[in-house]
Amino acid sequence: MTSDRATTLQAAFQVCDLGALTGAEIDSYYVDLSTVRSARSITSVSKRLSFLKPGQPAAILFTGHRGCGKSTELQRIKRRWELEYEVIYIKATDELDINDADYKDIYLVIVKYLTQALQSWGLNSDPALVSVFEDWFKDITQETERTKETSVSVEGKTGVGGGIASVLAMSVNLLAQIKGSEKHKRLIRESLQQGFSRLQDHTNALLKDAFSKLQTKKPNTKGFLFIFDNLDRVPPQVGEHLFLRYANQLAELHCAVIYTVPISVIYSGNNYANVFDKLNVMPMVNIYQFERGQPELGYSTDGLNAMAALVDRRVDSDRIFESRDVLLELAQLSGGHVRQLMQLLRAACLTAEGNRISSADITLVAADEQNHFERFIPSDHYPVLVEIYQNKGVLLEPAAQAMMQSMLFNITVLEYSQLDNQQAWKYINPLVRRTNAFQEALRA
Amino acid sequence: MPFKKLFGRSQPPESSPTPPPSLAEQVISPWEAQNEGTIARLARFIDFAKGFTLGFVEISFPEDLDDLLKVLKKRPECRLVDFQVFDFSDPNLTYLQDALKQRIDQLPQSISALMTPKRVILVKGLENSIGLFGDYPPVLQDLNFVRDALADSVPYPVLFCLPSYAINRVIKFAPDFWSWKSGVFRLLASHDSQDEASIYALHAQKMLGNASQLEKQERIRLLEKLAQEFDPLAANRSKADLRIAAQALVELGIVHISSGEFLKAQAVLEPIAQIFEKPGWQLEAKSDLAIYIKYLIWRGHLDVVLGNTAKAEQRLGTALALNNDVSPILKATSYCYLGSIKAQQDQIEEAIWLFQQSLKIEERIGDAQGQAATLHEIAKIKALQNNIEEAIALFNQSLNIKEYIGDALGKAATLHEIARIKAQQNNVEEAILLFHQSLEIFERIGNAHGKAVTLNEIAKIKGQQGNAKEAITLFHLALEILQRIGSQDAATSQAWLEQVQQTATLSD
Repeated sequence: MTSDRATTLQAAFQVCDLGALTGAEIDSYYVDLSTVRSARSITSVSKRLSFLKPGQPAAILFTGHRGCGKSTELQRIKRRWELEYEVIYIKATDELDINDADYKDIYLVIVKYLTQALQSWGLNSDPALVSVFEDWFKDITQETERTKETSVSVEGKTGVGGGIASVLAMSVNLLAQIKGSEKHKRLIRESLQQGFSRLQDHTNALLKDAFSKLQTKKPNTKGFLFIFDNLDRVPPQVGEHLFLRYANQLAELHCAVIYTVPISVIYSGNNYANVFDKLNVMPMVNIYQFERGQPELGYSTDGLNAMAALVDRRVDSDRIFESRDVLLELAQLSGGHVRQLMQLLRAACLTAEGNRISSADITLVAADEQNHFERFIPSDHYPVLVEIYQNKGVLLEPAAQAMMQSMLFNITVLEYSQLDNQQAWKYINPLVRRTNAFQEALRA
Repeated sequence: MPFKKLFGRSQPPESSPTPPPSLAEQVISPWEAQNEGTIARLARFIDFAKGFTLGFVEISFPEDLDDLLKVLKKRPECRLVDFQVFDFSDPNLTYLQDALKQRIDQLPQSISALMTPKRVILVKGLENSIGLFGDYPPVLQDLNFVRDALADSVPYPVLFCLPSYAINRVIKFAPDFWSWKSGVFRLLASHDSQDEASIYALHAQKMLGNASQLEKQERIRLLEKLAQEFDPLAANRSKADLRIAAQALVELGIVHISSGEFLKAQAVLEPIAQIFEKPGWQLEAKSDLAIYIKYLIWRGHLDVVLGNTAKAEQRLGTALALNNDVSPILKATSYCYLGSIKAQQDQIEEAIWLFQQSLKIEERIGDAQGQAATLHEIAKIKALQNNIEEAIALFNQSLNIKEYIGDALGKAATLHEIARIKAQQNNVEEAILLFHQSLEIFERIGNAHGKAVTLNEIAKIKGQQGNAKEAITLFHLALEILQRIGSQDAATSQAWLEQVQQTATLSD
């Protein structure tokens, strides 16, 4: 346990950050939750990677509810595989226009990061490959220029130095143009569309070549592992474009890629699984004693303690909370959702009357937070919420099923997984359960 | 004119150190009293937050933000805080992160390394780009995505100050962004009765010129509700109520004018005069004067289209005389409208001078919409003077800006004028094409007057082409609209119709 845990409300507020853990924070604050939340999603990603032969491609989807600890786990996956793979972590946010991301852009991003990596190791690609890439780029450029739109400035020259540097320059240039303006984006995408099979072939050839170069440098390597984080934040229509309509194109890259996917795509009922065989959804920490027919679930001591441990890692709980029970109360209200826990704690730090957080403070905070839920839950959701509360999300009518997707999306409903048989079940967010509207619907 | 200059942002407001208030000043207002708990939490948030920390302040009236800042600065936790208020009310804003970065780069460096005050950013005006309608507004989609990047690029606590209506849209369309909040602070307005949606409609600056017919109807509905609720003619209305009613009615008038519904606008604007005559109404603040000036300008504008030029001149003149440092935008608008009156009266030199005054202000404050409108008016004069080349160049310049900022109504008006020039040049095909383009826009945004005058012009061309039947049908359509909205153009339309009918009978 770290010695410099927070001892004041101010320090507690600061240390209970809402973002993912990265770097040294993982060492200080990470709590292994695998005994209280099904780790299937993480282990299956790792299992999948460990089964792969060197150089064997794979497209792996990873998803989870917002704030449940996805990015933190991806950071850990990155660390875990760094020895066997050349891991390249990409924040989609940095590279793509998220309102309008396209599968072709993903290829360009891969080319960019790959060539960047090669360049940083002082490696070069097969000159023949570089030259076909250059030809392809020239064609794209000419095609774009031919469309009379003189304002598009895809430069014909392929960058200085030739070789890998020029391929890097091309991909950077195209990505910048695509992100730069609507008009450029449309024109370049049209050209890319026509030349896509060439882009795909060249990219894969480049990946294969890079892999063989990598092997000479690190004989035991399994190849490249690209992790695309933040792609789960795209709006629904972009998610469908990438992971349903053009799933094949994403799966056909010759390397291992982990894509984060919006959870709505998973629940949209469409068949993404034909292309990506495994689905890895991270559930909440199970803080309940599951009993399907029991509306009001009892709590699991282990689950609550695990949530409390997340807080204990960061703050000196004896000095921040009036009693252990207050902390456990907070854990109950979190529903096993990591960010909700941190958020409630932050709010409690702001509300606390004295130097320590009391049960009364928690009650006030919960009342505030449930109001935020109440303001956006449509009234027709409540009867379905009651149903989920009663039967844990099974045997729903198709219409209610569809409604549950949006409930999972806006975390009014949370997903859990049983540790023994991995069976998934749903339960409503404790903050929603406290709302007047829900209580009324329950009585109805 | 370089684009950069047109769209340059105004400088961030200077922050001045506030001396600690004397005891006598520390009187707690009713507003402060009812929000005491929330303000205490907010002050603690500001005290606790380190680095990028996201908070939301729910606030219905923009002016309450000034009060909030005053109150916060009095609190011991915030004495040393350097508050920066960023006004992002551009309705076309999409990339908030870039805008934030730009403004932060412009902030002065702290002078002393020993005493660096804590910096806290308050963002206001974002409700304009969030809008009232439509799914996934671009600014929210982008916010949802750049959330992590913000943590790196904005190293300060940021408080988004929004009306509750806009916060609901954040929850809905930027859920990931919302889920990163560390505090929500809801400040109650001092007014006893408030309807969020209506209040929002009152303050929304989203460009009317680009609002669809449906959006306008919704806005009208909300504003009417507000005007009824705060009925200014009921007895014993408080100043606050009168202020809301006056604002709602002026805004309602503007919506009607922008739909070309002049009689409806008149019905709404006329009773406002009674508010200003009420004993309860005294000009207390600059904002009161601004309401009055705004009323005078739009009333004057309406007078022009209804044919009462003398009255219009008088009202616009008063608006100008009263506007001493109240609102540069309103000043520029007054100059521009006065200019078009002078142009109508053939007092060209005076008109040009007025337009130049208007343009000067618009350039200084970066009001692109106003600038485009003034350029349009100057171009009209050039066209009148038969200085066609220059006129076309100016129209195109105006058109470019309007396209850039998404001012559909302005665009339709300029296309209409260019089409008229083409028609005069006997470039009939191009003229018809442009008239149809402008007609399409007028129809989409629901501008009755624009639609009617464009139909008139097309009818004229048809008549000249000997297509009397089609011309008569179109004239009838136009005339019907013009009569309904009470436009002066009805008489001209009638005359043309009779002329075509005569020619048609003669040639029969």
